[in-house]
Amino acid sequence: MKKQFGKIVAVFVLFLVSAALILPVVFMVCKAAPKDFYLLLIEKFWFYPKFWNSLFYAAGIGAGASLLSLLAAFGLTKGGFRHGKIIFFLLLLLMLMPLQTTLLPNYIGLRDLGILDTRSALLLPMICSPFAIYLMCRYMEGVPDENWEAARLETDSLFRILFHVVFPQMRACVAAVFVFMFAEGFNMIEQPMYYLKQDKLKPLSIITDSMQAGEEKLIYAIGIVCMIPLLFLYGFYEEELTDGLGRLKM
Amino acid sequence: MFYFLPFLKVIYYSFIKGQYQKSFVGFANYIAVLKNTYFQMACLNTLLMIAFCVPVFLAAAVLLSILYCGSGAVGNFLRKLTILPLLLPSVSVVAAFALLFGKIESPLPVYILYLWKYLGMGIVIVSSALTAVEPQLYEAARMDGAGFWQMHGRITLPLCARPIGFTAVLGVVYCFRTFRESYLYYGSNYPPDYSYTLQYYMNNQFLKLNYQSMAVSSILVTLTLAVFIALCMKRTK
Repeated sequence: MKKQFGKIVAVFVLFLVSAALILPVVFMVCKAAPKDFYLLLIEKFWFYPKFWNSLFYAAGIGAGASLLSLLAAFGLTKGGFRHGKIIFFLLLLLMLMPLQTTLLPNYIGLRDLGILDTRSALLLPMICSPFAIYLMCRYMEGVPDENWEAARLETDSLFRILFHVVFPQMRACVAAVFVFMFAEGFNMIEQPMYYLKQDKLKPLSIITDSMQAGEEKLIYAIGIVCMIPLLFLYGFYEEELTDGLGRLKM
Repeated sequence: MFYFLPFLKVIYYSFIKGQYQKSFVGFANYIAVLKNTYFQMACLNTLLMIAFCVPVFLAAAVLLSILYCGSGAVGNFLRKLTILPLLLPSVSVVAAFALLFGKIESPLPVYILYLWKYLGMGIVIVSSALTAVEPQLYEAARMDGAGFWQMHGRITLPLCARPIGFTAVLGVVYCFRTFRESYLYYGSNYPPDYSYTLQYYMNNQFLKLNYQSMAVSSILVTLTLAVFIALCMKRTK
């Protein structure tokens, strides 16, 4: 009897927490009038280019980061690096740094390469994300070495090992990295603000800067439209994401 | 390439006088930054935020994961919702929070935003560690008549110490990361005094093209965090 009671209380608490998690979203949906959507999607000519920009950046970052981190993690964990520990520590450190500290080094790097104010200025640093590489390494460590060794006996081609052995086993983690980096890319605010000057390259996330007076009400409609691609991804890849992020550790 | 090499250049910047007068000035830049009242205020606010948010974050993450893992299918289903806030774009989230809270004279909305956004990460990490604990241990403890608190205090905490430690580190780090939300929430580079954190300081230095102060504060924050993380890694080993 007592145990049953405890369980009911636990479920009740969890329901409350979940409600609190969804509340802001629900609130916003209630606040946005259908008229705002009409204005945004049909009348405002600035909306679509920015929206496609956002999607382009996010998809590019997601795909690039998952590919690069897969390769990097494979090299780092299975390549027999002597100083793996130091590299791991550096990765962990970089992954945990707040954006503001890496902003200046990044900016200097981009400036010296001469790609400030281009699309690659946003794409490249995010694709080389330490978080993605770190997560991938952690996941890959959980896969037994014998799997790769067996493949090595079968074929000489590194590409085929990667494509037929590594990728299928890492599919969940690749999906997790893709979704996470997609969200990060969709959500960039500081980077486009500092690295870009041309208005036509800017994504939707910094729209509030360029909004004219009287358009503030649109923010709720924009917020909801922004959420849609991420909600889709969340719906499809929720399990992989939980699984992948759960492997994070020091 | 984008992080490490330029960082060396940042260190170089922190020791020279200005962008065009490349004379070596030693630690003068560091002293100037440390004496700056805004820098001090920013440090204080960031520390306050850490002191308030991290314990709440940690306690909530551990308690909720225990609850989630303990309540079967319903818990599993509800747990999936917790990582959703991590993915939602800041623009939408902040718009919603601004609606909910309006203008309150305290940094509380930002704290709640922080908890709301990152709690899922903590829960995912802690509960994946929890599922790795063998259920026989709990059964044995229950046979011996251990209650809820005793069971989790004696079994869960020691066995999951490492992931929980990592969650604590993440909590501290996320405090440094909430700039984006805070920035959108207040909508300007100069928020009310109580919310002026280190990130604002660095951001504004960057906008003013004051690379020297920016470099110095970057290095100070990096060093502090690096030492902190290294210490935590040592402790949890």
